[in-house]
Amino acid sequence: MSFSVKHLNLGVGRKTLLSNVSFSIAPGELVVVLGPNGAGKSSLLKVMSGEHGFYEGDLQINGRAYAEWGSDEIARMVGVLPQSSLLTFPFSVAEVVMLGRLPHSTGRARDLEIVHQAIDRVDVSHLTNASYPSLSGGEKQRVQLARVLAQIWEETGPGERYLLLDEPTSALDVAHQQLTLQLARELAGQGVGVMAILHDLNLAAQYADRIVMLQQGEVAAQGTVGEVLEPDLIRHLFAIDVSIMPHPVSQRPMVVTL
Amino acid sequence: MKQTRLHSVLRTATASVVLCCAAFSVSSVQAAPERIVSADGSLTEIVYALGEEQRLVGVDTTSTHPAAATDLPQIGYKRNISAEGTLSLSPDVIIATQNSGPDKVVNQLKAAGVDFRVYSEAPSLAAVEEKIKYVAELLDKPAKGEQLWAQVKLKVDNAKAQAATVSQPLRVMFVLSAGDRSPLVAGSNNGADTMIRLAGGINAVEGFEGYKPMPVEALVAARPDVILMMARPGHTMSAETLFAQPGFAMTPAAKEQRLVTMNGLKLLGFGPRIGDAISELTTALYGDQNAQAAR
Amino acid sequence: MNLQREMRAQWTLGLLGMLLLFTLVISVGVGPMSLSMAESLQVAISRFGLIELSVPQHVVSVVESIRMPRTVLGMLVGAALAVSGAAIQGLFRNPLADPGLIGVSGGAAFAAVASIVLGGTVLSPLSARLGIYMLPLMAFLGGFITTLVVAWIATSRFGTSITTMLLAGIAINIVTGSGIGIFTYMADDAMLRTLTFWQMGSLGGATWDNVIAAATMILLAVVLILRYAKSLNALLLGESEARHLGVDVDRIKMKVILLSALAVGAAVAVSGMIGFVGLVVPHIVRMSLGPDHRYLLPASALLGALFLLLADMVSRTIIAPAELPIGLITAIIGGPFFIGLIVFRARKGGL
Repeated sequence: MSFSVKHLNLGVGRKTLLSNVSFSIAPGELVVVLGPNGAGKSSLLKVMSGEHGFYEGDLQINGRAYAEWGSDEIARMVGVLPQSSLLTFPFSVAEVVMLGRLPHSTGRARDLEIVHQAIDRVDVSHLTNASYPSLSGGEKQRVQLARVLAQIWEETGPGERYLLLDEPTSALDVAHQQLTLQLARELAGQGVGVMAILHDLNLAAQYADRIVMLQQGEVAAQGTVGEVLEPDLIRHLFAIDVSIMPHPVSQRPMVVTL
Repeated sequence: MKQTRLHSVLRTATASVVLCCAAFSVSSVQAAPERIVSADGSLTEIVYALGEEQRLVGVDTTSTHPAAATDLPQIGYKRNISAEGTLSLSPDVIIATQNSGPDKVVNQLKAAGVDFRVYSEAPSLAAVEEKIKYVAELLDKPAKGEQLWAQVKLKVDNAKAQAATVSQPLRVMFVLSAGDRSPLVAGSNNGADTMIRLAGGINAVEGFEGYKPMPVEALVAARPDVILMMARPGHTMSAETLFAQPGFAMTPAAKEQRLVTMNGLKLLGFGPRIGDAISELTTALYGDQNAQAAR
Repeated sequence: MNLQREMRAQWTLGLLGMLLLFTLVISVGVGPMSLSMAESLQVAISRFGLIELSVPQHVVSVVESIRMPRTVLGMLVGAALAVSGAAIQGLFRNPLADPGLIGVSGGAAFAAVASIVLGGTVLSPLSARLGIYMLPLMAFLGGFITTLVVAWIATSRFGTSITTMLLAGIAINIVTGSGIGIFTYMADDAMLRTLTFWQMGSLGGATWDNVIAAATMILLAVVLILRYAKSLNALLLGESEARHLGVDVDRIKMKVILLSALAVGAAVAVSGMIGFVGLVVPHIVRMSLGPDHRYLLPASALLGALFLLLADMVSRTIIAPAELPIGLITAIIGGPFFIGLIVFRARKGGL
């Protein structure tokens, strides 16, 4: 069981956005997608979240082709956190998170319970009744994360769950960046397959099980943190000189710019 | 669209309120004009009735009677005449009523040196007399004018005499349009109201001026004995259809299906045919025997 | 959770329902004809076979075939305009959107004006056959077909684009507006009066026939729109987000647009142009109950019906025996409200 793409090609007009991309997310692992701007990270996420129907290649969730699943079934397996939200109507935070329960019919009491737990987990319980449009960018991001958590809170039938995060830390302060990725790790610990697009190499190094490195629509490298975070590869992709050294406490690799 | 709507409302309102003092300066020194443009249907009719139609070189779109008038060069709708089109006919004089316009064009025409005559638009017999006499003087045919007015007067008086023999005047309601909506009916102070009274009827509608929509319930409360409508090609409504509608069905008029339809220009034109129009309406209201008895 | 807000929403719905019932009773009891309230109500109640009728026949007729259909029509039209307004605003994610944006009102007005002006000439075979039903039928078809055109323009292989639809709606409104201008130019004085008043709206044409016809379409549309409340909530997050929540976005968009066109088309056909209900009513509801469509839609329906009933009572009585077009009344109330809203938003820097 996994969420996999094989030989994925995507083009708009004559422009190639993705070419021959293959990788997969297994339940329980945290896969980080890295790459310079324009590498195709967001396009990949859009294909995987069903936004672009005009790709070529093979997209499978839990052993079945994407197109064979019903949209309600996919919604109960795959949660997607967008980069930013368009919501301008004055929903309360709790109401926004409650929208995550839309694909489920678990009953109102259970839904409320999940909503409150999800709000707790992203550390916004003090804002439960606040009006969403009045929140700061970071708070909005966390509320949206809570909504997606509520959506895939527990397994409900169709299969293993996956969480796709599009730059989940972009609007957050350092503490909440850590909190968000710790959360992602915990979810992975509960058997959710998590994919996160990140820009910060060290966050990736700190939390990823595996890293997929994209460049100009192709997979430049994929593997464990140690395999992918190589000074030569990083110089080649990002045009910066780095050295990799073990973190003084966790011993995980750490990227230091020179 | 909202603007045009508002605009047209304002225009109708101002046209009926403003402009009450028009100049009737009749020059007897000048020679009678040979090239006339008429910007009003009733004035065109008067020129024809005076037998001077050969002098007409242009008319507006409201000049539809007699039919021959429609063959003349057109200067557009009376409230929206075209300055250059009118001037291209090189008229000596333009005859118009108070609501002919727009004002800008009127000023342009006057500035171009054309004699622009404005006559009363009021829906009254006096206005008809004025229009006939002044147009006749303008055309240098005062005797013909007196004669024409005398004919009109005679018919009006006959109708009045006929109406006087009726013990109980009928309550008449003029309906401009009825259909899928609250009907548009004539209140006081308009052409239809004047005609109903001249024909010896009572306007069943009281309480507002001009033509306004009236809820069908108020229509029932007005208790009209007769409904009066304009006959227009394709728009004429049969008594059957009209009295099948819930409001009209409850009026006294519905009992005998009393719907009178008349040619709109004749009924509301306030031209030389007003005498005929009044006797036609009186006859329609009170029947023919009375008419002969009165004579 | 906003249990408080939900409680309030439920209370508000109940309260609105009771107010509507109360206003309905008053509406049947009030009119230019001086009938006592007791007489009118007796007629209304006797219909249910509860009491023996003891009032004169003309009172029965006035109440039964004039006031009651008019009252019912007012409620239907008010509900239709308000619910479609709320749904379209949700779909466009813009609280200032209006059903006019999808072309339905412009198309209906164009067809109505065309049938007023051409009914005697080009369209006379049609008007001879359909009689007084021609105008409402034309208006309804005009509105619905125009919306189909707008939706067709906005739909490509990537789905229906709301932005393209907005542009298409504006463009179509320019076209229908100029068409109306041309017909207005062609109209004679009597037609001008008729079409001017048509554009100001009126519930005066209510007969049981057209009430039943309008009710069939409006109730169908409103009930179906209510079923999409949750999907509309998800759509407020954005189209992608709604899709990720399992909402079939393209299908819902198309359905909500067509159902709104059905409701508004039917309303405009029987009552002409009544502005601002679709804008103001959902707004008031949103201010007190929040944007949750599960409450917004039914509350808008009730408040819209209530608002139009009150406006129509004013319309019938304020300058009796004449009628003040109801569109003027809703605009007099709605215009300043709208201006206030824009000023408020500008000062606050958006909602």
